[in-house]
Amino acid sequence: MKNPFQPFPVTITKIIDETPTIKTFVLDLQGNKFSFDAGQFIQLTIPGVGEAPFTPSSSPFVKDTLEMTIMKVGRATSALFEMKPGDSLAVRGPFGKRYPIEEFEKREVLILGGGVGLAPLRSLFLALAENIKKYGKIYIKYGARTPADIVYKYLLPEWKTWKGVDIDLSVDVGDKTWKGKTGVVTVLLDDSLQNTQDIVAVVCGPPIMMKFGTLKLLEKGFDGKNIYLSMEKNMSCGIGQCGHCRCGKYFVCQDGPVLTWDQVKDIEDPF
Amino acid sequence: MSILFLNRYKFNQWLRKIHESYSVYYPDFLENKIHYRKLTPEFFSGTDNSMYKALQEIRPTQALKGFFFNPRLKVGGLNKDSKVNVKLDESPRVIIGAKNCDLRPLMVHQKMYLENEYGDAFYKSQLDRTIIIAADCPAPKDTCFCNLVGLKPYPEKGADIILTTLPNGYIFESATKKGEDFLRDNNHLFQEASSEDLSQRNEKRKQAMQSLEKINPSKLRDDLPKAIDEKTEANFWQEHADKCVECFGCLMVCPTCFCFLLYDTPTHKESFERHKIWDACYYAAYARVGGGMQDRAEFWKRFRNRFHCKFMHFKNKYDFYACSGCGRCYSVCMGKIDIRKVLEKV
Repeated sequence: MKNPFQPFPVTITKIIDETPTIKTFVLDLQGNKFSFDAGQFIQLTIPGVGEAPFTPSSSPFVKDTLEMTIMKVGRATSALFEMKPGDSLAVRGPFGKRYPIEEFEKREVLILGGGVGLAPLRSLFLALAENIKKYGKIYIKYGARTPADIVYKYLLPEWKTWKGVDIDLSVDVGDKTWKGKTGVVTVLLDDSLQNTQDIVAVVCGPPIMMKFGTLKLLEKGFDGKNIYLSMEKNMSCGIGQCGHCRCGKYFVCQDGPVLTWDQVKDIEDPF
Repeated sequence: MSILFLNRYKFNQWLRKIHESYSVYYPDFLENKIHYRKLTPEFFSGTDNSMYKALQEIRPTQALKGFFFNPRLKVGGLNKDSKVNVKLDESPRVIIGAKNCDLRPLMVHQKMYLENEYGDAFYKSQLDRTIIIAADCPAPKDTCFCNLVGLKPYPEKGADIILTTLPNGYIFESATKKGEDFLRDNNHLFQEASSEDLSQRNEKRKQAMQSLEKINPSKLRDDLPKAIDEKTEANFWQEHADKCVECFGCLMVCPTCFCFLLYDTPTHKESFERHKIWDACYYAAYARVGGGMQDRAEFWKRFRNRFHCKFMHFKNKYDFYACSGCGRCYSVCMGKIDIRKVLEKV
């Protein structure tokens, strides 16, 4: 019997401290048959506590491990943060729709992330980077609250050296060491972006950042059908049956979790 | 498909026969209300009188839904590294006496669960092991409004067999092959329904329809989904929501509500069982995400969501309302919120 509610066990092999509230958990899939496409999410079970939805941060091209960058915000993630390498978790999925990356070919892609929102965008970025010549320039514009809140500090310098990748960071509040831009992430959406109506924008971050990020993109001439938004809703079943993630006419787990601005613009308070 | 007649004095004989191979559930009185009861051998020490009367009442207190979409069902889990056994009871059963207002909900659930990419093997197996013998509803009460949502007071779609009580017996009409085969097993007890039997049935159905039209004389507006969508004023919803005592009984008795929660319980270290339990969109935590944010923090928005779900989104997608007019929500409501009145004013 095919049972979409049954997870399979995985093991934590490594935990990377990203920031005081964000960690990356490297999971060994224990040989279970699993693959995902960028944009899809999984349900991660903390045994005995419950499960919560997350989008993988690792490349979809990596098959035997899965990396999840997760912020401690609630009951499930607090329990997760108590866990150690060697401990067991469980996974079911992947669920939801993938990014239509074939439609991104020959076009510039703007990855706009806020805080832990860069985590799911990383799997998209790595998927694009796998065939980087197919796309125009890939911009990563990423904002965090303080320099200490920046994730993937150990990866960003390397990504910057990749041909066709342009990375720009900002923090809301700088410190003595910070030499970059200061202000909310939208300060990075400057006039250097040309032909904005054709650029694909992919946005993930806290709701307030999603809202003002989208408004800024529209103001800059981005087309609503090219703005991809990672919707944060309470996704429980993952398969469009349980009702929790309703957002207008959509079930975000099934129709998303990434929806375009054109899809959500008529929904009251979509974020 | 056959239309057969079973004399009342042969009813218990038939029931005894099917009880040999099936678990049987039937409607009966419990403190003046109708509930499903599981047939036991003690039943046969009496007559069919109580069931015969109960079949002519409106729908049972609890919805048929629970037989298929269980209030709590184990759907998975892990014992260290092995899966928890979730084998379901697949023994055959017969459910007698569901009304049309409990059949549409099955259509709603089939849309949600079975016509879904992943399906629902649990729901399907519950459905497969069941013969549904639904019954006419000859005496609608003032809480009933199936006619407003496009239904008739007798079974239309979703039953295997349609049952009508007549003064001296029962009409059994098979509606599916499963129902036809089931009736054929005891063919010797039945006779062909006569044209007089059928005209009696038609007359009773006509009367039931007329009394429903008397109870609910005005129709729902044709553009109801659009009207609900455009009803964005907080005041309108607030006014109704203010009467709600937030017991959420309406959603727990609703036969069409399809929401559920996956709920894990620890068994021992690293082991857990996963249950699928009924959930309801009126709960504050229903749409809440990890960080505490939620779309419908104000209660009136959660109240409105019920109308959005049943009368707008579902109707727009599947072309029928996810409401069967059973009236259970109004029957249990301590705030006396009549869903019909809300819909009328939209």
